[in-house]
Amino acid sequence: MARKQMPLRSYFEKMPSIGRGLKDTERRQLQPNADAIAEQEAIIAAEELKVRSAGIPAEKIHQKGQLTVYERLEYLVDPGTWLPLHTLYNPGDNEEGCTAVVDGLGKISGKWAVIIAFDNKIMAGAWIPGQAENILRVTDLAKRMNIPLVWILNCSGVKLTEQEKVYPDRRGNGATFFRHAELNQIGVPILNAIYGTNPAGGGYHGISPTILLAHKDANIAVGGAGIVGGMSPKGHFDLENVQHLIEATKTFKGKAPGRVDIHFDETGYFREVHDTEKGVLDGIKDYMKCLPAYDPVFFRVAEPVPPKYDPGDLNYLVPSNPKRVYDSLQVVARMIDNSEFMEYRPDYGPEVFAGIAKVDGFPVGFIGNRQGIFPNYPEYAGGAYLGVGGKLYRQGLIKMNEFVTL
Amino acid sequence: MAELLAPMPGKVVALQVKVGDQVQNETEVLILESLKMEFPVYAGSSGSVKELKVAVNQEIEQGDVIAVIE
Repeated sequence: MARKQMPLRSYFEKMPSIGRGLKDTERRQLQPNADAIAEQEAIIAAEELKVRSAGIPAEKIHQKGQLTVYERLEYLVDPGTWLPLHTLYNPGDNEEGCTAVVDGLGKISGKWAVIIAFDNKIMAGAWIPGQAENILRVTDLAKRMNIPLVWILNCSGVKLTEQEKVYPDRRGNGATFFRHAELNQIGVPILNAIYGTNPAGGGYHGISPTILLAHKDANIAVGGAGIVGGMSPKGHFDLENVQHLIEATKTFKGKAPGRVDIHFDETGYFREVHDTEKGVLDGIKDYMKCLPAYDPVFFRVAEPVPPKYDPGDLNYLVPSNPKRVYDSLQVVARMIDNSEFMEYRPDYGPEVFAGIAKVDGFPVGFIGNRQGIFPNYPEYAGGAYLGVGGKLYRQGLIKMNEFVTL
Repeated sequence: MAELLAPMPGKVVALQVKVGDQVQNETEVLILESLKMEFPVYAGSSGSVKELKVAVNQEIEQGDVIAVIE
């Protein structure tokens, strides 16, 4: 008969408990702290709502037969897995209050991806200042985590009045395509769902991904109607070619460059074309199924269980006053499976704790400062002064080094 | 009767109890600022606060009597 067990079961199955529940008196004393944090959380939630409602109302998008960026994300991402990032990030200090892209981590068809989507409520998804910095963060994440990057592209091109803040710079919007090439080279796939009109800067987004899927009304071209219509073969303008340009511009406005009949039927650049908005996202889901990802079974050392103590206590335990000391292991106890922690050398270097816990059944190493005062430490001070948490002494440094390298 | 002693030198930045208050082991009696950090000092015993021997902004030494708890 086959016998199976979790990895190193005798070490990981049951580890020592840390932490303790908060007493009513402590909770009462810490209530002002929890209130102060709740107040800040409410401010952040209000700012998030502002970003979410930036641009034109959702009804206007619906009237055009489109879904909003949030509806697209909700359909694409597995329920309960969306972890938004950079929501309030606005390094260009834009009047829109955001960078006009919505990004985060989420699972698609059960596999993690970094996902970034243009907010089609904001100028039909424009390139605006600071967005390039946001995109750099996203491409970095995909690289570091070695998971696919998924775009929901709907980019009307640069906000013309601020183009000098968008195009230039080593880290500007052009860097996006270099980063895409780099990701492809190291084997991180980029999947792109394309909607709407994507001229000029928007068009470049389509060049570099690994797989392009489009909605039937989408178009994407490095030169949009304005640019293609404005080209003069003579290199100068006279009445005849101005007349010609007017006619050409009218044609391109009516029939934009880079439509499905070119990019699917002729160039073969689109892998799929879908009649519905959701169809494009279904295509992304299907391609995500083709990608490899580890099964958690491979690395889990125990079945996942929640912490023994309520993570809701964290607002009581972590002081809003940054000078205030607190019990850092009480915090760790609320982040780890069943609040079990295998501490490394607990009797050495008391100003630092190091050890292994389980998070969602996976083994995770923790290192932190233990706070408070240590009366007979460091031993070489001979009582001349007190050891204090937040500083590092010889034993703590040695312990940390041993823990991360041994 | 128990004397509560300062565990470390520092400046008293807040008194969390007053004379006559009932306290328990884990009740914060005062906040001491030292080395750029704020440390709570807990009652360490249960009873009522009979005397408070320090005031806000006072610099105290390790071992100074902070309060008497009865």
